[in-house]
Amino acid sequence: MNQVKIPVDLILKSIDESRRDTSSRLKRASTVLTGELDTEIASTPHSVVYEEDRVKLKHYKPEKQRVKTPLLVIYALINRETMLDLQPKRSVIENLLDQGVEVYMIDWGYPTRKDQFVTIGDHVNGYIHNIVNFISDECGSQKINIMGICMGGVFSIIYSALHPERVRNLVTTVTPTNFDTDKGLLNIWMKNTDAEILGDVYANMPGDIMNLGFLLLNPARLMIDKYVSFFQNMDNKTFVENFIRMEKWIFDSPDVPAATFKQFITDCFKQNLLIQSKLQIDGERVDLKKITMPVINFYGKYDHLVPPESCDVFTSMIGSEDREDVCFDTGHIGIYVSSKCQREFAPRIAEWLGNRDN
Amino acid sequence: MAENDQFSADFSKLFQNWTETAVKFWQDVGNQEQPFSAAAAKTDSQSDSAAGEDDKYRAYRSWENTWNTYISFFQLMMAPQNQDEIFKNASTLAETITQATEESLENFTEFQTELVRSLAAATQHTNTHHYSTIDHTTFESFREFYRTELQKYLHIPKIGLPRELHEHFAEFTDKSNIFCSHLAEFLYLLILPLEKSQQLMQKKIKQMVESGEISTDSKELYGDWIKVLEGQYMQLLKSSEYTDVLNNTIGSLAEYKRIKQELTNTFLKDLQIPTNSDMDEVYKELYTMKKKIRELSRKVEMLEKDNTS
Repeated sequence: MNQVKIPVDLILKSIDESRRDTSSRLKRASTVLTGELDTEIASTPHSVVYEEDRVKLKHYKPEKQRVKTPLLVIYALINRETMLDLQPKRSVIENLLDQGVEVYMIDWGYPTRKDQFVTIGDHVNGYIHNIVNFISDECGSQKINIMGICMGGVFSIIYSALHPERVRNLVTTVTPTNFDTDKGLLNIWMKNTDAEILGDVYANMPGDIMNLGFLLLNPARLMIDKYVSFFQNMDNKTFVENFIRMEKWIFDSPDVPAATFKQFITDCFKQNLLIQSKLQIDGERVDLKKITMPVINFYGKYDHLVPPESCDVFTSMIGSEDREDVCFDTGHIGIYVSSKCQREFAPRIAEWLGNRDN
Repeated sequence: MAENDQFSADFSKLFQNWTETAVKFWQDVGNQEQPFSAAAAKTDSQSDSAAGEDDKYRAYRSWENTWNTYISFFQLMMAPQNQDEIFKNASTLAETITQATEESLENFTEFQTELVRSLAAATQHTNTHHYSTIDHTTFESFREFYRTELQKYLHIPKIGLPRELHEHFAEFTDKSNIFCSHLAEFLYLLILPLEKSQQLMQKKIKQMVESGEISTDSKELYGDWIKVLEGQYMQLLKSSEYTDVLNNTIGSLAEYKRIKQELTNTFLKDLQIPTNSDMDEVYKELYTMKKKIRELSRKVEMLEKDNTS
């Protein structure tokens, strides 16, 4: 029998080095963690110019406006819009302002039990429509630009189809429109479970339960590796600050009104009505052919929440001739926060809007 | 047999003695010159009428009657001609209890055997990269045992004034047990990839050791493990088994939450505190009114615009 030689001396040496390294890292980490940390998010100066119920409208004014038509950003009801303004030099909002785009952004607030009956129609034909009216009055233009993010992208598509006369240009980012795909665990789970009943049981769909669901999309990375990485870098002040900012954002999850949640799961995930132009909102059919304004559609190649297959059909179903798909080599969040996308994303939007600003 | 007869006779004699002593005691009490409440009665007004006297002793008389009935009943029971029948009934009752216990114990033993068997077979039945062959027997066995042996007791019809409350309690216990069993199964599934990834890493390390290529860098080994774990989770999370268990967990959670809410509502109603259901009705009315006001405001605006133009 061959005796296998195990380099015990090297292994022991490695363990010892690792021990010493960890010990000194912990000492440095204690200085970092107990010192002053800048973990503020959403720090770009803005003013709240409109309020309705729990909904607020944030206004960001550029130093020099190059795009005449203001841009309304409609974020998803899941998590918060602060993701677009995580920190200075890593902020989509800041980049858009640098490009001379005047930005309005909806803060959906925190729905409570009394909001459980609010439907998709109430969001689109109520809050969004009132906000568009407000911005139109402010800027003196009948039409404004709209950018939708994820579920907010679905809202902006519905709004553009129902009120095409109010939208000059439409930007959709990581927006699921085709739910008839088995790519992406969310599609599989939502189609094959009765998750919508949770809306009834909890009155609203609790943000924490949704967050748990998102963590379960990749437990190895999101529940283990992420924190191992934090442990390995917790002596690095910049790393810690960025990590905490992201943690603050990711676990800041408002509940989703039950009626909206149930409608979204049933009509979109289960019946895939939107892409077939069969979705009914407040008794009116959402006909994608009525989207005749210019449309640019961004999505991520490695998006595990909204896979490319959920996004890339949309532009072929609309009435507009001026349409474009842009796929970044990144994931669902990376499109807004990765350094590479930071350099490309906002400038591309600003340029595209600038070329269609008449 | 003779021993049994002897025991029966002794026991009967003992019981008869006790009954006689008790009867004598209560008769003595009854024959006292001053009954319990008589002293107090004498300090009262001397002009009490006979009807008044009766009123004062009413509670005592009622108590005395009850005891007399009780004593008569026991005397009747202990009469030699009735003893056989009593012992027969007692033995029938004991037999019934023994039989029910025996059946339950048999089922419980069966469940335990099944549990041990399925726990032992769990790792054999789950191939490293396939989650379609996960052994659910453990959890199913428990649920089967619960359904056949325990649930029926919770489903015994409730009666009387607190019927609704008892029903809520029983249903709450029932749904809570079902939810816990589904949750346990769900958590078990989530732990499987950890176990499997460790098995795979152990194999890998063994191979590395055998080929003399073992890495001394723990970070490298951790990196390999996390990749394996990620792959294992992807396999699990995509499987229909996982979706089924997830769906069952969601369904049972919903049922559990519903009955918990109903039970809470029962207490809140007693305390005159508005329940969530009450508030939901108010919220619904508010929502409908706001919607109507919004529509009307828009119509008014349009009319105003039409008038100005």
